[in-house]
Amino acid sequence: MSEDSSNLPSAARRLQKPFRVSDVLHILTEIFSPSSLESTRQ
Amino acid sequence: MVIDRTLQLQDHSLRRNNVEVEFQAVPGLPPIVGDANQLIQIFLNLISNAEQAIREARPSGRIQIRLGRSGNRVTATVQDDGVGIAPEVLPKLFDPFFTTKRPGGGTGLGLSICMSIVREHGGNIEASSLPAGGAAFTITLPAAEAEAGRRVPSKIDSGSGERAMPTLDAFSKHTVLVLDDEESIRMLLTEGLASYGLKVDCAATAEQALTLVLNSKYDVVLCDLKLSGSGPNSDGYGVAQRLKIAASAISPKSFTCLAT
Repeated sequence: MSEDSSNLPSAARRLQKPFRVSDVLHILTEIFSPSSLESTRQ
Repeated sequence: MVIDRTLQLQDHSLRRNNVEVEFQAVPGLPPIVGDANQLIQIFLNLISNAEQAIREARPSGRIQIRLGRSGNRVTATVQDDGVGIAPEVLPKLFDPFFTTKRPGGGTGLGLSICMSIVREHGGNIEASSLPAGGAAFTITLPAAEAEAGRRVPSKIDSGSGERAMPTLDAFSKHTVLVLDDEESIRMLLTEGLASYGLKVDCAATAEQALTLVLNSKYDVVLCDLKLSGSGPNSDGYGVAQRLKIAASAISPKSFTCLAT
């Protein structure tokens, strides 16, 4: 359901409607994971 | 909100045809996730059909709209006191191009489209003819609460296997801004994400989002790509870029954009 989009700001994620709250939570988990935060800092 | 908006759109026609509508919102019903415009299209079709069925039977009539809950699904029934549906017609009612209206009265696509939309939303529609006359159409849609309200370590059916729900700890102290012009989506995400410990702010317009971004730091912005209105503030891609620039002006580490 999620995919990258080159038209969006860098590091943006795409979640197409209709979505469930659980879909959002799973993407947020990925975004907030330590490895993701580390790559963002770099 | 969807039914209120539908009734506003159909108000003039209902008054002109002396059709009274009985509808009361039910407090405590869980929200559903869906495209508001498509859901309005469904109710417009059902109410318009009910109105025509009443006109065929009598000079005035009544439509009742009832909401309810069945397990983790929300139901909405549109009932009229019109001509009713002949038993032999019921099985074909949702077939494309099937109509009982006079030539020129309808394409026969309305209910077929309604069924398609409802199924895309994971629901169903059933029609019945009432013994005392009239007809009832019941829409069943999955409640969002079934997805949002669960707590770790439960599992959810994602449609492609099971995934463990995230823990509350994963989200504590994180902040999210939701930019979406649909109130139902803002409410759903506010309730759903806040229940997992996230701090959630909401904006209905690009201007509101810009003000919030300039005054608070967010980890993630959920940005609706198709905002209502016209001009640059309706282009979600452009708005996301502007929010990013605005946020980077107050903090070197900007938010992650989640485009919806």
